[in-house]
Amino acid sequence: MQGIETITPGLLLGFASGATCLATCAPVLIPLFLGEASAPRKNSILLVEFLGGRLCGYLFFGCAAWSAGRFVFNGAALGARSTGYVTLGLGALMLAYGLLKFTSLRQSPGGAAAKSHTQCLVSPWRARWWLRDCPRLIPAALGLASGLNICPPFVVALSQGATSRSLAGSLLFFVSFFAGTSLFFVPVPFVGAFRRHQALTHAGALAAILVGLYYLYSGALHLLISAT
Amino acid sequence: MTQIKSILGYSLAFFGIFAAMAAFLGMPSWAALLVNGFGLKVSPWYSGGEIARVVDHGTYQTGIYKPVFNALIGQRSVGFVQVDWSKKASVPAKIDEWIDLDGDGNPDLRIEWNTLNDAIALTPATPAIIGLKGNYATSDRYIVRVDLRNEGKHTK
Amino acid sequence: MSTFAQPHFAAPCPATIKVPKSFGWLASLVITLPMLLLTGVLLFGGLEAFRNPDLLRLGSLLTVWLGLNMVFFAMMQTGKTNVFRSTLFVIIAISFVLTFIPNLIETRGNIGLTQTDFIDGKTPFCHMVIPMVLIPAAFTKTIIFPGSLLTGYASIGSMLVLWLAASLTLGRGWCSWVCFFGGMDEGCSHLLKMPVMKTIDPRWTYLPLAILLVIVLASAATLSPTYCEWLCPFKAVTEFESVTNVRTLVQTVLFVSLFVGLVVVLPILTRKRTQCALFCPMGAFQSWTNKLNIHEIRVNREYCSDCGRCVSKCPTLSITKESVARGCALSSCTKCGLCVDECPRKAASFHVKWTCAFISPRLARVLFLYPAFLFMSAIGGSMMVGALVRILRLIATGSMF
Repeated sequence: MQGIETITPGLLLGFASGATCLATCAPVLIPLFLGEASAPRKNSILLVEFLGGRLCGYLFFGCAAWSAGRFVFNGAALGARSTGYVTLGLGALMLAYGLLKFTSLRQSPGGAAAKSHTQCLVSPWRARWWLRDCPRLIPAALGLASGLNICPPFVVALSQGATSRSLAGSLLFFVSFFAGTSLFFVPVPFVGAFRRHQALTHAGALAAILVGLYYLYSGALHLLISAT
Repeated sequence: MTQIKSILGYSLAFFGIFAAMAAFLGMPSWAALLVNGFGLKVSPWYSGGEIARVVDHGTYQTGIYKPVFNALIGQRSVGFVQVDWSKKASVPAKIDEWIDLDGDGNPDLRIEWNTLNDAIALTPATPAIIGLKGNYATSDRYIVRVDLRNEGKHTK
Repeated sequence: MSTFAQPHFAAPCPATIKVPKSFGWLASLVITLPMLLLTGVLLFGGLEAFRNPDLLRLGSLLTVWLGLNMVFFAMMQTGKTNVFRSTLFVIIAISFVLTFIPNLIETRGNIGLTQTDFIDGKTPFCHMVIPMVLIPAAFTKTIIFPGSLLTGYASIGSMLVLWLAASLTLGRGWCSWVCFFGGMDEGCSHLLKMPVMKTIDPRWTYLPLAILLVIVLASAATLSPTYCEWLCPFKAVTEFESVTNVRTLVQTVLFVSLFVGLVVVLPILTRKRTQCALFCPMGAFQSWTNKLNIHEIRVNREYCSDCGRCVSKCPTLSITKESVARGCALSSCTKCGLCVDECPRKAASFHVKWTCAFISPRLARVLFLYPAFLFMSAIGGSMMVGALVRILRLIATGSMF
């Protein structure tokens, strides 16, 4: 079983960018909760539906990434040197993303809305309008729309999924990435969850920098080992 | 209500003094209760895990441990297995032994370890053996750890 | 007091009464007597010290015991907390290094950890590991640390009990009263009279949370204490894996750089406890236990003149203008008492949650100081005794061992 080797980077990546995911989804989630529920129990059900939709989006990307990977890499396993370069690139991307995010937060003191570096393929607002006659599906659809999301950590996840040897590996990576990001959503149904929004956003950006540095070190170590 | 909350608050604060004293005075008992109550153990990645079989050589014993593949959930694809020789004083200076890890009657690897100059050689007999992880001389035993692929059969 | 300034958990208060924060000589003595007894029990371990009298050790024990209680008496008599706490805290940190390193050399031969030491379970368990071991312990019932569960120096079980008790009674007060590392950057932060770097971007206070998030998950995923392996600045003055390859070299460079930067240079330049406020994941973890704990620091808005002295003085950046406006400190408050001592209008005070605010700040202070001082004396006291024995032995024989 590929187990921990696949789950670890997925979880780490998800955890590093989870706060950002929450910050991105907050404008979608808050009106949803405010408009449709109030009790933590009902909020929890809405959240599960929302996350279910998001998971579907992630699994879709898992399949897409693996298919693209087979086409690009022709199923070949990467050597130590190539892995080193890929990891270095991922680390640089994560670091740049974290720094960019942190810098943008510095420019908006008092926790005002930070610049968004993300772009959803399907606007959650458009999804809500499309499903105005089927309100039961709205939370899951919003989750799916938020899951189809292109941000640097997601690009990192895509490239990791693409280099996976099997479809199961790619899906497992995306599920663990989803699990890592979803941890940040757990407190949402409870009272006052968004009061810590600013702390989560800052901590998320800094965590992305830390993970980026780790990837850089890991990539450099791979190159060093392959050179000796 | 205000009075009840105040009394509760001060009582809890006062209780803190007793909690501090109790923590120190009953430390060994509390610690044992905590560790035994939750069934805690040191991670096998550090301790070497549980012993699977002992081969008695008369003056000394060879301990063969269960392979360690533990992950947070499930198992890892690569782990290690520990073999040790004790009591240290009775173990021959040159250890040379074929080890049967899974107890199927066929040896899986051979260890040749000259404990005097620390020269060690590992001869794998099955493809699951990856290589030597390390050899260590502790205060009471000699230990070897061997990297192992998880083929799902070294668990007896 | 305006309703805006009143946090939701405080009981409504009658008219605010100003009361003195210190006690008279006699009252201070009466309050100190039980402490004399309790610290005696903790330090002497019953009559154990007298049964097998080692004069050097017995003398050190008596000196430390009396010294500690004189400090406690002074706290009561002067009404000042931080100046005495800080002095003891720094002495304890120095004593820790003076006892820990010679102890390792005596028992293991050197301070460099080897794989053999890991296998032998000879690594003392430190509280910094606690946030990392909880998830693996819950999932696998194993502790991802190469220490001993119940026996030997700083066993895993005893440290967990200690942390649980201290967290319940002190919350993040742990960081100013119990942690034997905290005194190192606190000591360095006192070296200059004025800070060279006058401002710190408050957004950096989120870094400990980020580190906590990353290390907790990384430790759970890799089943190893990643903070200890990669980031702990205090490895530089305690123990670390012997340098045998590139990985251990990188680790050692990180440990030393972080120690020099966060524990020595930045505290000197900023007069803040930068390691504790801007880096330590255990501190971020303890901030959550502050929610469970009954003690807190409150600011009486009726007396507060918004001079900002508490904000600028707080060594862990735990009071902001916004929190002062709300009449409280942030959850990262370590209850060191500096703001209480420094407030020119006596607006800041210790407070017991759920009770009427500002009615009996002296009682609230004593109820916090008692368990806090007991923890400090029991843990720090034994280190001070150990250090004193080593120093006296060095003077008498020329060797610490």
